[in-house]
Amino acid sequence: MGLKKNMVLQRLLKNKLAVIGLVIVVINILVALLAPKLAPYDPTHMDLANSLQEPGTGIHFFHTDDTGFHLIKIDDTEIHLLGTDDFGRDLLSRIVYGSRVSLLVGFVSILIGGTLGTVLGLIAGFYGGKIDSVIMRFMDGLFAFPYVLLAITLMTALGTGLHNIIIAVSIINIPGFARIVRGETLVVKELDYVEAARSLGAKNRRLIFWHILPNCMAPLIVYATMGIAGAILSEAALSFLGLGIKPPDPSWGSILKDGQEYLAVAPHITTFSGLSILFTVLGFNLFGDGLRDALDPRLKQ
Amino acid sequence: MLKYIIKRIIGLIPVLFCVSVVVFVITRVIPGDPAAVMLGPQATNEAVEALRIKLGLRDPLLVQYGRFLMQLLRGDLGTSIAYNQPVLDLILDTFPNTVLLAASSLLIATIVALPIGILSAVKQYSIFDYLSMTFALVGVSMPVYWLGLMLVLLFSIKLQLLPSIGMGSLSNGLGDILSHLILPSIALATIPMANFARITRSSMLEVVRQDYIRTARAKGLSEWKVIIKHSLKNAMVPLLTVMGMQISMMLSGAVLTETIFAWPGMGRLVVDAIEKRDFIMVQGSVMFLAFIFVFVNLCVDVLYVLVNPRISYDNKGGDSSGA
Repeated sequence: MGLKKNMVLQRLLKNKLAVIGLVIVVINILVALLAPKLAPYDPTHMDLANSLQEPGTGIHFFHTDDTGFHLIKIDDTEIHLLGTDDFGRDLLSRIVYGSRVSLLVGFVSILIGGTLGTVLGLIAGFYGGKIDSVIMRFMDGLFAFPYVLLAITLMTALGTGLHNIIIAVSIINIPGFARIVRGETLVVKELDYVEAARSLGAKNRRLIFWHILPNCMAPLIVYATMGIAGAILSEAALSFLGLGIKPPDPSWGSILKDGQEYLAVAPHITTFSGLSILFTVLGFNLFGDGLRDALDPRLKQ
Repeated sequence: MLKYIIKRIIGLIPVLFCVSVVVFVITRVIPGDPAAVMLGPQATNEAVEALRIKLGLRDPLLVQYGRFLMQLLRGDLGTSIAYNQPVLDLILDTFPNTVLLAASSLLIATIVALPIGILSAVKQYSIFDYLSMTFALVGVSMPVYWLGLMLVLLFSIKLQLLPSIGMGSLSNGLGDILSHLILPSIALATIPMANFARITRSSMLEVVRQDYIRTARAKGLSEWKVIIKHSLKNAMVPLLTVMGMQISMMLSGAVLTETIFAWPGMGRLVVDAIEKRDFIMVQGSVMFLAFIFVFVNLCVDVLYVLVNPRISYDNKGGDSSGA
């Protein structure tokens, strides 16, 4: 087993794109953890006199003799590396703090939705018959909603706020996990070693969680990694529609929404917040893609 | 074949039933009193109470659900609270616009993605393959609404080439509608395009390794013929399955895209209805969209069996019907 893990890791590290993805993910986690240290200002501090400042405000370049360009701060203008928004809040600080919301929603909702979906999928696949039909028809029912619409309706019902986003995004992720795990379970439960464990007297619960689940882990991990990317996109979409994080707390989607109004005069608000979403989601997708290739080399010969 | 189709349609009944339960439960817990919203802030308590009774909001939930279900079976989606018009009429006014948007996006996505996917597979591990698959992954990661805003920034605000909101009107000629259609359909096409390119590539790679392709090559057929005539046809099968899934994704994307571009489609209708707490409109349109989705997937499944003779449809009936 240890040898196998090593091989997976080696294959993963050989894949340049996967490593890039991993680096993006790690940077994101660090930024989220160290947000209070990294953000130059309080993300909710308003300064109307300095609203809609362009990126680079307060930075002055001076040409001094032959040594080239020097970064010198001359007056007491505040430095806003990425500019400010309509309330004069520092955009960099807001984006740094926004990463917390994205990652939290991404990880926690996949943990909750993934766990529920996995258990449902295991039960459906293992027991089959009526139980399977009832569970999977219900999952199909959830799956039949365009997910944004389901999330929007749930958010309207639950009200805005971080907890409710996590609940809504968890729910929309349940059917996907259930389906993947059910499919795997159907295959794995027929394998000889499961039969062997059963004949040794293993109870159903032990069979499901000790013998079948571990063998479903590979596709599950890949799906979860991609799922985090999707969850981050969902959170951003909900916040963008004004159904997510309550103002004035920053989330990438809500910054984007605020910036939409000022697209013509202050495009930097929309541009940078959107780029943050894109890079983070890309990071998780690159990593997940590499992980799949590493776990299942048959796919990439 | 007919037996299979009938079996599948019967299999859809419990799914649609579950959908109706979920829709009903969610819309009933939406906060805000629809009766009060309908009458506005000046309404007296008596008037609001009278309307609640008239709308049946005072009845037990089970009775309300029964009524909702009976209406659905008759094809009646109720009357919108905010517009005071039948929900179905409002949907039929806006749905064609969403179909227009989604169809043109699907067209763009397919036209761009197929050649890229094929070329990537044929020239596996080339720079082209590497670049296009990296771009495809960027595409999959794209927040559609952000891309939409960036397109507006570039083409409408900076270059002033294309209109950024609305749909235009036929009375100004077809060109007016087309020019309004370009930006939103590009935005909406991005994710399916990226997905199609990835799937075309991987299924082409799968097919190219098969024996009959080697035979075709050995017969001395031109490479071009081998790719188009022998490989592509079989590589299309997985693509078809994904198309069904993409429809759901596109309806989701359409909600956001229509919001950005003020496109008068169903997505905007639903978002608007949610803002106005028009729960009858919400439950009606969500029901409608779910129905369309389930129906499209049924068609895809049937097509799937038709193109792929290796799949016997007799034992496929119990399998997940949404995929």
